[in-house]
Amino acid sequence: MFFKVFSWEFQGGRRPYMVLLLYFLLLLTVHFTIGEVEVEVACESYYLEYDYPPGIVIDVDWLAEDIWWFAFPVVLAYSISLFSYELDTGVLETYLLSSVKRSTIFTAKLSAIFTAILLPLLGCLLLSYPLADPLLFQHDPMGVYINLPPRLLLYASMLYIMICISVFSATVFRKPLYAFILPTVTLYILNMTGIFKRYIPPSCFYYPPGFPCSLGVDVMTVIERSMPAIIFSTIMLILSYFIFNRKDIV
Amino acid sequence: MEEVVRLEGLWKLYGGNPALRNINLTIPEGSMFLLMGPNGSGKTTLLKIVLGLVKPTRGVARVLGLDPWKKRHEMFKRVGAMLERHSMPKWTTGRRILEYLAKLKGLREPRKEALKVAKIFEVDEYWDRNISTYSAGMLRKIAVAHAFLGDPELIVLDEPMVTLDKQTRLILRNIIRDRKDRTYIVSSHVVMELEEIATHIAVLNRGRIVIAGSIRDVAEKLGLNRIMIKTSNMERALRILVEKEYDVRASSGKIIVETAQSPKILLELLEKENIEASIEIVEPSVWSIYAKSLLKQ
Repeated sequence: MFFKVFSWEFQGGRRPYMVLLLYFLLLLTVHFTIGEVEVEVACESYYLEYDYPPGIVIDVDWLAEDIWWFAFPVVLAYSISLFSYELDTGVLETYLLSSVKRSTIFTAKLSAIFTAILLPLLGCLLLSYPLADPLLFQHDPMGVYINLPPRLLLYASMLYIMICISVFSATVFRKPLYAFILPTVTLYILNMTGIFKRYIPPSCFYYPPGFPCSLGVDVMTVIERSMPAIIFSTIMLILSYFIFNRKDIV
Repeated sequence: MEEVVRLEGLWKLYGGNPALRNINLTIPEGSMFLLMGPNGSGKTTLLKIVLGLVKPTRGVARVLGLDPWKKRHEMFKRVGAMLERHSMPKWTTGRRILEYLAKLKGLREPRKEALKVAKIFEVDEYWDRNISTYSAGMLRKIAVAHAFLGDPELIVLDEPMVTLDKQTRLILRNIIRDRKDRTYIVSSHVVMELEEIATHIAVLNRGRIVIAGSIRDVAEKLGLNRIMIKTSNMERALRILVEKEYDVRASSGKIIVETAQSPKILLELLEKENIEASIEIVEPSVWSIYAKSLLKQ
C-alpha cells in the first residue's frame, strides 16, 4: 500500500516539484558559479609543494544564512502544498474513505517530500562542482567531486531540519497562510541573531583563520554542533505524525 | 434484523461547544436510513463519526461491529461513502482517481471495479478528461461512483442529490431501491426521489436527535396520518378540504391529506357534504415528519 500511495503523492506534487528543481538549479549553479563563488583551492605554491592530487581541497563555499534565506521559503511552500491540512482536507477526506491507514498517508507524503527535495539537491551539486572548476573537471572528472559526500551530508541535514519544521507547521496550522508565515518569520528572526551560523548546517568554519573554509576537518564538528537542531526537528516530526494520525478531519 | 450501526451516548464537542449531544441510534441491516435536520444540526459530524473521520468526545460508536475511529481501514473494506465536500485532486483524470481509490480500498481488480461503477453512473463518457475541467455535477457523479466501489454492504451518502442531474438521481434511486440487501444512510435535503424508498428516518436539531425510527413508527409517534382519498367528485372534495384548512395535495385522481386527525373524521366530513369517497392510510411524507418533529420540539 505504501508504494501505491507514495507514487500517487509524488505525482501529485510534480508541478511544484518542477519549480523546486529549477529553483535549486538556479540557486546552486548560477549563484555559485557566477559572481562571488569561492572555490577552495590552496595557493599554487602550496599545491605544488605538497603535491596534492587535484580536487582534494576543492569545495563550493557558501554562507549558511544565504542558503536559509533562499531555500527555506521554497521548501516550506512545497511541503505545505503537498501536506497542508487545509489545502488538502477535502482530498484527504476522500482518500480516507478507504482502507488506507493515516500513518501510511503520512509516511508516503513525507517520503515524497524527502525524495523530491533531496534528489534535486544531489543533481544540482553534481552539476555545480564541475561548473565551479571546469578545468579540473576536464582533467579529472571524478576528482572534482572529492568533497561532495561531506557537503551533501551538510546540505541534507539542513534540508532535513527545514522539512521537519515545514511538515510540523503544515500539520499544526490549518490555514496555509499561517503555516507559511509563522515559521518563516520565526526562523528569519533567529537567523538574524546569528544562531544559524553557529548551530545549523551547512556552517563554514575558517580553519585556519584567514584561509577559505575547509570541510575535511570540520564536517564532524558541524554535525556535532547541529545535533540539537537535528534532534529538535526530529521531535517536531514525531509530533506531526501523532497530530496527523489523531486529528479530526473536519 | 441485525444492527449495522449502533451509537450510544455519543457526544462531540468542538472547543467546548457541543456539536452532538447524547446521540443514541441504531440502524438496522437492509434499511434505507434518511438523516434530516436544519443546517448546522450535526448531520455531517454524525456521519463523520460513523465513517471514522472524527473521534467522538464521549460515547460508543460501532459500525459493522467495529470501532470506526480505531478500525476505519478495516471497516472500509465493507463500507462505501461520499461526503458533501467530496474533493478530488485536480491534477489527474476521473479514471485514474477512481482506479486509485479502488486500490486504496484493497480491491483485487481496481481497473475492472472502477469501470463497473463508472458505467453504472455514466462517468465513463468523460472520465479520461482532467478533473479540473469537470463541472460540479460531473464531480459529484465521480464521488457517488466512488461510494459504490466494490459493492459495499453499507453505503453512506451525504447530500448525494445536490448538483446531480435528474437522470443520475433516478439511477441512484433505482440502485438503492433494487439492492435491498444493502444498508444505506443518506443525509439529504433533496428527498423527492428518496422519500418513497426511505424505510427509516432520524431528525436532528442542534446536535440532538428529535425523533428516530422506522417511518411508520415515527409517524405514529407524531400522530401523523397521510390519508389518500379517492372520489369521483375531486373538485368539490378539494374545495371543502381547503376551506377547512387541511394540508391537501392532489395528484393523478387522488387527494392526499396529511393530518394528525383520524381518517374517520375526514370521511364523515365528506359524507356530510354528500361526497362518496374511499380512504386509505399511506405512509406520511418525510417532509411532513421533518416539519412536524421540528415544530413539536
